[in-house]
Amino acid sequence: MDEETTVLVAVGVAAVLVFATVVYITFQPKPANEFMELYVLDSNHGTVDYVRNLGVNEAVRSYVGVRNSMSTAQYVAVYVKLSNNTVSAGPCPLPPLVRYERVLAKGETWEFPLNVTVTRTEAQGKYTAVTELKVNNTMLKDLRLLAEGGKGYRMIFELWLYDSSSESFQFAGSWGKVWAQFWFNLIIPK
Amino acid sequence: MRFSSPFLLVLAFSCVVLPAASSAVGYDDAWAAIFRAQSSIETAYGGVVEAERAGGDVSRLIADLNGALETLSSARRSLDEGDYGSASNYAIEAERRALAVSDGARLMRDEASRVASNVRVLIGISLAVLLVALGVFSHFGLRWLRNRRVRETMRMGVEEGSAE
Repeated sequence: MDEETTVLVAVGVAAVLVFATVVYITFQPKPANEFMELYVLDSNHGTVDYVRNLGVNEAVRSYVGVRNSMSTAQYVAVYVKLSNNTVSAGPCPLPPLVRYERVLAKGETWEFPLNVTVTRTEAQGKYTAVTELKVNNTMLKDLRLLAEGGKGYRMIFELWLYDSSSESFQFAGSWGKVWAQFWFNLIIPK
Repeated sequence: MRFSSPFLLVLAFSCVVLPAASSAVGYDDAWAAIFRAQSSIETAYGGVVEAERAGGDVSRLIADLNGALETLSSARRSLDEGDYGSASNYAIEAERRALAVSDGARLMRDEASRVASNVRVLIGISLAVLLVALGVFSHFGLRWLRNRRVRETMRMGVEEGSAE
């Protein structure tokens, strides 16, 4: 093979390689930094004015948001839980008071208002128990969550993702910042 | 106008018994309907993800699926309130919506797969055309180069001859 033939074959092979590489890169899915995010905002859509002391029948408004930064749509559930300072969180072992479900498109942010009102409490010695609670339009009765002096309650918000392989919702702990909480003390009526 | 006794009996039956029978949905029936709707929604979600991975635009399907979820939420609320008839009706509606999403997702996935397959064929053909073009280019290019070299060699030979 003389020199010109070698050059032409080399150019041809290089052209084919470049074309094949361009096609491969174009059709390869881009490596994504996948994560989920859950946040809770105060009534002013900020992060500084969370309620600290809450009276009975006093409504507290907050906003819960979820952002899907995964590469596909996600079927999510936000669990709202009421807890005290003796129970661990992330995830909290208590059952949810209410849950909100939605399918989020890739890159979508879902935000919804959450109104919480403690409607009934009971004194039990030095403890106070929340026995009735209203979350948005859902009235929850027969609760029995105690806190000493009504102090150290917290609303916990957790993000759970539907897992098709187990056909159930799983806590999204490995996908980023997926739980939040705000603490409050109950103002106990004299 | 006078009505006969059998007619009045049938009328009373239809006014009292039939509506009661149609609304006699118990907790178990409503719960089962909700369970079926939930399963359908989960299946539909799987279909939506498949359609999305195949390259389809699933925004419309997601909106419809969220509609089904809201209806299912109404069913759960009715169940908690003891309104089993409404709970069942909402659940049936949610299931119907979810099944429609499943069908839509299946069609979209098939269509997206077909388009992707066509693109692959197009790329294959382009690659083949490129190779053929390269072959033709090489063939004629080589011939042209060889001819040019022959001409240069011949010219060099004539110049040497004239020098002698």
